[in-house]
Amino acid sequence: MDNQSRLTYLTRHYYDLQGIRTAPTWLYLLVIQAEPHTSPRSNGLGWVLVFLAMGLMAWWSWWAGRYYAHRFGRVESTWIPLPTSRLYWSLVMGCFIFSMYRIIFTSYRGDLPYMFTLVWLSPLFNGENPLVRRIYYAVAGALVLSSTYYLQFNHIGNNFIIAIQCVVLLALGLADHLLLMSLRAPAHEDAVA
Amino acid sequence: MLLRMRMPLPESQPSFPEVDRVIHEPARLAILTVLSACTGADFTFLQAATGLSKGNLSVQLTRLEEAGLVSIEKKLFRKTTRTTVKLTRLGKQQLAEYWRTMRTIQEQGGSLVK
Repeated sequence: MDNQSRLTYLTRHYYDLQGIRTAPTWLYLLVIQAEPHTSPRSNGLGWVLVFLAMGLMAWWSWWAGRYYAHRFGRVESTWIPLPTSRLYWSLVMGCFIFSMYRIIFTSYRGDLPYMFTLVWLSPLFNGENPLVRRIYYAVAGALVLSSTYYLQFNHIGNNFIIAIQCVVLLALGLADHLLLMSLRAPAHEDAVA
Repeated sequence: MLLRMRMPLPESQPSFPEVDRVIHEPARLAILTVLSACTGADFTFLQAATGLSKGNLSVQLTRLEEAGLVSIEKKLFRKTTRTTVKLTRLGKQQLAEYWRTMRTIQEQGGSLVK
């Protein structure tokens, strides 16, 4: 990636690459899967924990935003990093229609994890992303889709499917954060008038 | 005594278009590239993206502002000054013109090599 492309990409995808902002959401969902007592369905204490967790998530998101603003600054932009690939949107629409059909007519909700995976897999189909980002999204997608299929095929609980999604999304957030760090320019070139 | 041999110049010298010196300098070009990819950016972001020191970035921004290519807005926020830099309409035009010029030079240079 040459310097011009790096600068353009970093500026356009600045908020997209702030991976640790969403970390507590995945952590919370992961905890719910591991510890059913924290689920709101179980008891009143569950609801208290849910509200506490939501407060913590809001605080974390605010704190992470401040951290990024303090460390890397602020960018004003109206640009949304959505993929322009027709293949991607065809897949999303196809999968959405298929899963809705199955939910309405057969009450089968097993397609939803695939639909959700396709949504967060959008950077893979965005040609602006560097190859390294597309590769780690492709690996993550392949891992999640194959494990979901395996778990559903063997009738293993949905908790595992959600837990795998959360772990992978946590890892992707961290990878995006590291990519953002690597895209910063090293301090240099002071001898210019 | 040194005798300087001069190579005869070809009769038809290709005339390369003039490059805008204000934009052509690498640090200023980096700043303009960042600003062309967004609506506006603050001083900290420009520093993180371009890797320039505070002093150098400040000097380059002043040059760009003097040339009318960027607008600098300073606001007081929680006892600190927040500096936001935006590309002006002239800046957008000049940058687009600069890239057109560079492409022309590249094409002419390529045809010369052939």
